[in-house]
Amino acid sequence: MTQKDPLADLAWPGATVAPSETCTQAIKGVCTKGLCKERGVSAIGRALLTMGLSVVLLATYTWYAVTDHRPSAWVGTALFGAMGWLGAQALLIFVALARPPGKRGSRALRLGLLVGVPLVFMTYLALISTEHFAFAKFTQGHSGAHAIGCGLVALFFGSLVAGGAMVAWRKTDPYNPGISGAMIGMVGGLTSGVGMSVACPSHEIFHACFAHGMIVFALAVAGFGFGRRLLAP
Amino acid sequence: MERYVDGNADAFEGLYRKLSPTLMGYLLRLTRNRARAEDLLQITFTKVHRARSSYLKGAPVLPWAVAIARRSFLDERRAAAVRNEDLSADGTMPEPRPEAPALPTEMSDALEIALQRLPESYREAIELTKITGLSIQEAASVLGTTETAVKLRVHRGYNQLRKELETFQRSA
Repeated sequence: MTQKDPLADLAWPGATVAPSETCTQAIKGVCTKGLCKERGVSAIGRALLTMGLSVVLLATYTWYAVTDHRPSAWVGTALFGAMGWLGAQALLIFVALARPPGKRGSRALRLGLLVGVPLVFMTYLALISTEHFAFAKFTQGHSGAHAIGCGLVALFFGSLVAGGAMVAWRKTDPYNPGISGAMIGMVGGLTSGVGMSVACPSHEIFHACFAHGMIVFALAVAGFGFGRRLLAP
Repeated sequence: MERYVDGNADAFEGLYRKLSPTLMGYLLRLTRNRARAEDLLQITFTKVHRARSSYLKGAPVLPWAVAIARRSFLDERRAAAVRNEDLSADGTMPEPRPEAPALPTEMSDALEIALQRLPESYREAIELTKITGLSIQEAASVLGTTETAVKLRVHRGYNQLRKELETFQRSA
């Protein structure tokens, strides 16, 4: 004779427990005192704000490239690529942040994007580079110092965009604030990296990948840490 | 929720009536202490109140509130882990946590003990789906993981529960 499954017809513990009257009164006092309409910025509004910051930064880099007399053919080509990346960023923000939970990209998709997009971006930077030094030459002398300078500038401006976007999206994600923060950091890094490829005179492959590309990873990691603090309600 | 965001106090009454028993039950299961659960319920509703403008229109409210409650619990537990416990005014040590009954006499007691013995990830998945009543997708959102992982945790948790309860049935 088979034994009856103990989980069949099991009376699970009750899901609901009434809070005490004191607790209820305290909560109602806090939550209804001076209650007024508080419609914040919509998700689409936040997405547009984030994209606006990206466009402003790209315009700043372009203005610098033009006033610093970069060859117009090079600036034009780099801007053409930058427009494509802006479109990709808009898509990323819409899929990973702006849609409500359950409709936005799953956690697995967002993690995949966090790894895949920076790799694709690095590949793009490598492909558009026209100069190829040996790595040993890159690490010595002027090239290395220039790369560090470029990297710090890109990191600074990328942080401004990511920080602004983080403020726009604050307290919006109780589910996965770390991943949302990393997505925002990645968008800031992409904006700054692609902008640097417009403004920077170096067309060298290691310079592009390390100074312009690596900030995407750096800001995604920083965004993960800050997102857990800022994006959770 | 949307009428509450628009500043309707009566809507908050309705929202509170609907959410608070479920959230209180969930927090009580997490903390196993009524006073702590009520503190966390107040913190959760304060956070819901402050973050109401960022509520995404059309998103389900219960998983959103449960996710905020869970994060409040985790924050409080992390803070408690690094906080030094002070002696109370009369110089006594803080009260120890009440322990679960050692020998279950009823199936419900046996289930409670078996649930407590489960690894935290399995217990959370089972409690959210079976007791709190969230769907697999909603539980995955709250736990910050995939639906497949939740199904796997529930399945493994069930297997462990089954073994524990079979032992109890044989001994009873």
